[in-house]
Amino acid sequence: MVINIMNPGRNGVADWIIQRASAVILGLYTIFMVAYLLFHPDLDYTAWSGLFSHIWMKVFTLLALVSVAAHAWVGLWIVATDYIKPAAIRFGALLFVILALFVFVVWGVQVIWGV
Amino acid sequence: MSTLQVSVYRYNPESDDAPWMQDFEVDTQGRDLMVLNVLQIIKEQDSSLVYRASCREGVCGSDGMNMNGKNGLSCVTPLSEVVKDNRLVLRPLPGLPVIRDLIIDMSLFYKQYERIQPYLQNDERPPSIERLQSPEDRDKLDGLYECILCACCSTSCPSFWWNPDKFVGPAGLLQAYRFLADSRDTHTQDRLSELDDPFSVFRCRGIMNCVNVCPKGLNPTRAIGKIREMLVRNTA
Amino acid sequence: MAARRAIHRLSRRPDLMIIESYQKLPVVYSCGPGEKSAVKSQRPLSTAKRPVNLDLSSIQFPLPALVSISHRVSGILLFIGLIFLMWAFQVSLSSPAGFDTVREAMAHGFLARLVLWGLLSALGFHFVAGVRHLIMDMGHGETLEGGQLGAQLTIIISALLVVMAGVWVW
Repeated sequence: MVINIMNPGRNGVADWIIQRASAVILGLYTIFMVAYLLFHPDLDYTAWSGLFSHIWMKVFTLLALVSVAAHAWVGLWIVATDYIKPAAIRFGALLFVILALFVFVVWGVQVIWGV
Repeated sequence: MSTLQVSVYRYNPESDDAPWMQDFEVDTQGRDLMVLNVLQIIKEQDSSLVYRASCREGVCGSDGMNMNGKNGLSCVTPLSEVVKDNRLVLRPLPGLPVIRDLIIDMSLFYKQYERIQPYLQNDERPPSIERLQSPEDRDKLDGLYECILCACCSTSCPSFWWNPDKFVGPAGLLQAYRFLADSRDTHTQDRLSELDDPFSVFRCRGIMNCVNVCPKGLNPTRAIGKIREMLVRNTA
Repeated sequence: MAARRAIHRLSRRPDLMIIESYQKLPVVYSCGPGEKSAVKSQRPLSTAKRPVNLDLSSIQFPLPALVSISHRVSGILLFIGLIFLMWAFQVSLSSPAGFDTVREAMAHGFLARLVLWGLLSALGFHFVAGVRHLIMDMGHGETLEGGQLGAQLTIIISALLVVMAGVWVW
């Protein structure tokens, strides 16, 4: 049994499920966005802000944002624990990642709810 | 053109500060020798070269090494399979400490193997005959029990290189699944609880180097997938 | 009675006894010249500074391994690219002028288009390789041949997406 204090989930299964579930959500969001942009080549501000004024789109986008944070956190935690062996530097790098992801989420929420 | 250019990794802790590559010319007389034969010929030229070997038929797992970039057993790897441009580069298995020349310290590898409790655990009263198992249940052990612990797989796995003390590695996990899948073993829950942290099993990224190099044709990736499945089912 | 006999038989198993006796053997350490060879440690073999063979240029990496490391690299690139994405997101939704700024940059800005194409390519590859991971999680493509085929398909489909993204952006 390997004990680790900075692992995201309670255990390996939780991390794995979080990574897979967030991946599926992000996959769906990506397909939707790409399809939307492809089918609206002459997009203007009215249509674009109109899309994000719908509550379901706000919820979907917020879900995608949280999924990005979860997915990126699990992935980058694994990368950090693979390559950065000195504990202090690894801790610093992971702290930076958490802060960056937190900023992205807050930033995104502010943008969505500003529409 | 039967002179083979061989470059061998050398390191003697008593006389060398750092490992170095020594070049030899080996006259194979046109025969498609095994890499182990080439090593034996080289040893006649330079008796200070050391390497592990025993059964010379691919069943003991002693002579695993990295041949022209790929791990394998030197006794069952013919030159025709590895030599490129008449050149053969022999290096020790990657990722584990080198004791001398081509001999590596297998302690971490064995430690991970012991960690997964590679023995049958059944607390029920032992029967007066052997524990019976149906042919279907016995079939589930095929592709798992044949492992000879040569370490070719684990030493080809980047995840094992970066965390050999925390990630059990393909060989250990293949054996872990061998006991998880054994119908005669009753400690399945305990075994799974031991493995459900983020490191032991879940460092497997599906790189599949292990399947690529296994000299017995085993598939650790699939076994690890099955362990993951059992762990997820256990939790969900 | 039968159980006792069975346990008795078990303890006589030669392979178990061998393991047991091996564990009881004292560890023998090497000794230098002039030192008496002894069972208890004199001077342990130096384990601290053993080299490790991790010269990646000397190791062969098959296609699935290259796809895997590229999946990781593309993930990291996307994390960095999030900044640009969030910027574009905010500015495009802030006002019609903001929307035009973003649109202009994507249509004519060289650096902006390069970054956009790079991110779309990374996203495309990461997406396809990720789908392959999900397929493998379901138990398909875990054999030697399956892994090779999966890796090849990933590269082909990703290459197509990179080209399509390039056409779209430029």
